[in-house]
Amino acid sequence: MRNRLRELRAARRWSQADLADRLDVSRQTVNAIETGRYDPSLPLAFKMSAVFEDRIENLFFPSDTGPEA
Amino acid sequence: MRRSLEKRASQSDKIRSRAQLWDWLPAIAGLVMLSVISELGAFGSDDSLKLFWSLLNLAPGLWIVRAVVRSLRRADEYQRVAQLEALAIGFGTLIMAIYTTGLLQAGGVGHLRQMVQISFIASMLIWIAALMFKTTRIDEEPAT
Repeated sequence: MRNRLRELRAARRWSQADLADRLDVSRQTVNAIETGRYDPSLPLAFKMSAVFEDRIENLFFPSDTGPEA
Repeated sequence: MRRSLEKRASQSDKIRSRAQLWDWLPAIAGLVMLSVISELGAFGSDDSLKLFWSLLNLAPGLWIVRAVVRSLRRADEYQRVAQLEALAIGFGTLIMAIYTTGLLQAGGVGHLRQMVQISFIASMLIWIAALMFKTTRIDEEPAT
């Protein structure tokens, strides 16, 4: 699964630690999700959706689809 | 050039690290203290109170179990997966090390207490190394 977290985070000028604070997770978790090494659970995905004020389907994409596919 | 990863820990990182330190410190201090006492043969640990001092190692051992359970409960979802995988690797290493120790003892090779201690410490180190490897942050920013 791919995602736009890094792009959305950069647009807000947040560091990984800033986003981790907002999601109540570790920096490693944010890094692993951004780099595609870990797919978040549905509750965490909803939390990200709330933090970025965007719909989940605009944050995450199957590997073969998405804005750059 | 790759951008360096930021050093600042998140608030949850800080809280978890602090709590883990206090969970693990008594157990590690207890194990080190008991190892030193056993090695020096102090307080009757190599004589009349040998059984007592040997069984006393169960106390920090149980404290480690408590620390691991608390750490797993405190971890976020990604850290929990990483911790469980690292635990599995450490546990597998310990089983094989203890099995090998048993075979060596049956062959009359080595000193049992030292080999068990080495097996235990090596397994712990492999467990920690596996966890560090699993949770290493990588930077995939495009080169500029």
